[in-house]
Amino acid sequence: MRRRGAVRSVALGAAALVVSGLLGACSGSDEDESAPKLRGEITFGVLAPLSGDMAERGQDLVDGAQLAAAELNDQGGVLGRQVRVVVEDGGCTAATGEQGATGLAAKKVVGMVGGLCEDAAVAAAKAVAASGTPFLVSSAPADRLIEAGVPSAFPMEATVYQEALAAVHWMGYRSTQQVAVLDDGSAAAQRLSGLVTDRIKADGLPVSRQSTDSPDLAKLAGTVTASKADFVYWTGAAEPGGRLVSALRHAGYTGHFMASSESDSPEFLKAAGGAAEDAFLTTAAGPKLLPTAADWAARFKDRYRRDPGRDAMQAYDALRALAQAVRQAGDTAPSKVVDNIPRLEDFTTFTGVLRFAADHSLTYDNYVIAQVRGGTFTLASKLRTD
Amino acid sequence: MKAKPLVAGAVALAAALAVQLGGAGAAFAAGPGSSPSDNSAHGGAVLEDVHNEPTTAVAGNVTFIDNVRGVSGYSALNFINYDKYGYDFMFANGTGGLAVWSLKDPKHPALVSKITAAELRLPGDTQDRFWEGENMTVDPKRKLVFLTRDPRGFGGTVSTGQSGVYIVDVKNPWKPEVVTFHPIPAGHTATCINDCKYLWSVGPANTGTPGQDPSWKGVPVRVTDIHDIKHPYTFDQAVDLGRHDGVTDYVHSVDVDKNGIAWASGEGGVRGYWTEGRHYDPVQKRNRVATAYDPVPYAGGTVVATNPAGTDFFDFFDHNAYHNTEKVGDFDKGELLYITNENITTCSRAGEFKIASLKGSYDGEGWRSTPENPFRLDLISHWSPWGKEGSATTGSCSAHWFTVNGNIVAQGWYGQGTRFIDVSDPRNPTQVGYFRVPAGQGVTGGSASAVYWHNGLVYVADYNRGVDVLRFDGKLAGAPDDKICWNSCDK
Repeated sequence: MRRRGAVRSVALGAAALVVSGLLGACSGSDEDESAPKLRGEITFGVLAPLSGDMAERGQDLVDGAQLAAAELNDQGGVLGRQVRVVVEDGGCTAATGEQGATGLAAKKVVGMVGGLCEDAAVAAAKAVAASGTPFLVSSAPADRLIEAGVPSAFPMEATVYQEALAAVHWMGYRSTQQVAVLDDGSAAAQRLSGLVTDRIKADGLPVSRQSTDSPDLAKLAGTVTASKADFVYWTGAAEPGGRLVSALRHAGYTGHFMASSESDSPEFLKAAGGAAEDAFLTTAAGPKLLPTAADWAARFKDRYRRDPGRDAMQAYDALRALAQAVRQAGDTAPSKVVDNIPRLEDFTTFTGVLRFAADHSLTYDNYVIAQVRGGTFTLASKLRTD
Repeated sequence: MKAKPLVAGAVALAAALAVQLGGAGAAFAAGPGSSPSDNSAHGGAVLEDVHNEPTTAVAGNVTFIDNVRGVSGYSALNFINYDKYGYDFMFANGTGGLAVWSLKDPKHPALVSKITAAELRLPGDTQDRFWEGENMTVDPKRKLVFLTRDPRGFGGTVSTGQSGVYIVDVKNPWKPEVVTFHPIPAGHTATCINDCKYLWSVGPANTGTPGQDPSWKGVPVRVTDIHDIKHPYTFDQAVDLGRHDGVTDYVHSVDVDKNGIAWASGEGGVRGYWTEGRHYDPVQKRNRVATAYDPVPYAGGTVVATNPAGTDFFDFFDHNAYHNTEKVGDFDKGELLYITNENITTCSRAGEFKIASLKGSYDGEGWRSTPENPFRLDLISHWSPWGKEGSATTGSCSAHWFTVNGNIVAQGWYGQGTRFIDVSDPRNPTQVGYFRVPAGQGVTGGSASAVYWHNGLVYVADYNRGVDVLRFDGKLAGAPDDKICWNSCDK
């Protein structure tokens, strides 16, 4: 799965499409006569790309939010009112994101979830900033959203810096003595490798950092092996990452190998072949990796006849978090809901407690450590002790 | 020694309970906004405080100067110097929460702000009672105070309560702000490690605390990365396991010496660890890089029991320790370890102050100790106030927290008050001063938790009285320390 920055350039048609209305009406649970009687409605907005290259992920996001709404209604709604979900096509550009958010605001939503493409999400957050509409951004990369500093926007993805922290903490668990950090020269990879290197240096561990865009990875592997590094971290793309671990093992490297979330892809496994076995990955937690999401994934599949993607899981958690903030506020006034988002009580996502720092970054991020076992990614550690 | 006048003449307090009003008459600190430029003698607005004159005190070689109450009694203090103001602030935590005093006039601390226990409550808490923050740690560079929350705080128990740390930003000491509460499966005390880039949280005793291995008898060291206080991270792997003859047990305190070695004290002894740099690991038998989360053993162990009526627990409960990195008497440089053995029992048998030699413990012996083949440090001496001048015969009398200046140990002893012990001859510790406050009409009886040398004065964190400001009038033995170690001497 390629996450960082990959969706930014995807364009969508000019018009944002209003595609959905009342969600409660399509919930199978409505047929349950024992369901609590709800009085009135509370409307949440969902922003997602619904056409173009990202449409499939966008629909996944919408489905996750719809499932959360249905389950909230089964459990008595929010403040005794039925949860209603309206969806706007936010596309993947700043213009479509702004247009989608404006459309949701016009529908008087109590809050918004969604946001998948970075440009669209940032523009959407800014578009509703004046009204203070709470916006839990479920899938878009967090860094630019945090830089934007919109008081009502809360990204539910971790920052690049937090991926660096995850990598360094995992190195700590492996009693690492010397680290080699390698990247492919791309801006994103260099940023991550720089953050990781600086953080390792701060702990006093010997570390080397090298960028390469050369297809000849055998030479690089030889250099790393000679350096006596016992932990290699690759922040570049998936396919060369797979070739790199293969070259390292071929050169006799016996230490740990870990790749960034860029390598959370079949391309990595294919390129590495058998050398991928035991390799670690820093990656954002998804339903396939998390045992805690298994029951939910089964419910999702039962409803939608397909496995949920990560966007569905994030949107599901985001809508529940928004509902919890409204419950705690006891009110739908935007300012009161926003005040409660950073201090949700007894609220957990599939990775653990959800809390936001003062800058609205996740206090406890959702990066986990995956490990290749039997040719597939498995969960090695949630890196959470909360 | 000769008993001296109790109250300094210049500080004749008018009443047993006097109220100090701020220069601006403010009932609530308005912030330093204006701070140093204010005309106030304390650098800014101050809050009302209570001063309790100890007219019943017994003292020798000690002058009482002032008492301040703040929000409650206290288990611990710490100090931060602010270049921008040109003086120190004192921080105390106890059942009432956090209190902050300006030490612009160090003899008369001025309360400038507070965070009450009620303000520290978390969802589910049933009481407004912080517990309890012994061995308080601070980051003097980033201006952070760490309030360690024991699971027994706020109405909890060791098995039901929430432990962890409140990270408090005190850049503006007039307006401390809780940055976050970070849950940690440990939390009786905590200590900054590696220039406060990590926190070692430890304790309490007993099993049943959430997140613990059921085979543990107490909570060992939990390591939290606090490079970035917005995103603290606690490692799932604990440190200082198998500390009591191979059994993982209660670590009560971590104290960092002047060489940067972190000494973990608790049930089963005192063991030192390198947390930075490359060192020989005598347990793994190889050179390796030490980190806060994977430290390298240095030396340590426990001493033989000295109490003929001891108990399995208290015999080896090394509550806190100080590794003297200097040469004392005819002992080698860095050989001596000063230890509090806490034992809450009758005064005649209460826990003592002990001095041990680290000789023979540098090759991992303390990490290989077993019940069948126990390793013990050489006990050089042990001391208690029992039968000494100025002592009580009843009450709670155990040794507790101390700090060292030169060769004078200033130590809290609960109801036995503050004791000044000259350890110039480590084989023969000698009392050279004391200050004890029995309860009386209008006088809050003392229960000294911790004693701090600070810029020529001595500040006592007292569980009942708040903070007493004292002056030691005896001769300071040994070379005065440029930097007093309050919990961490790290940089």
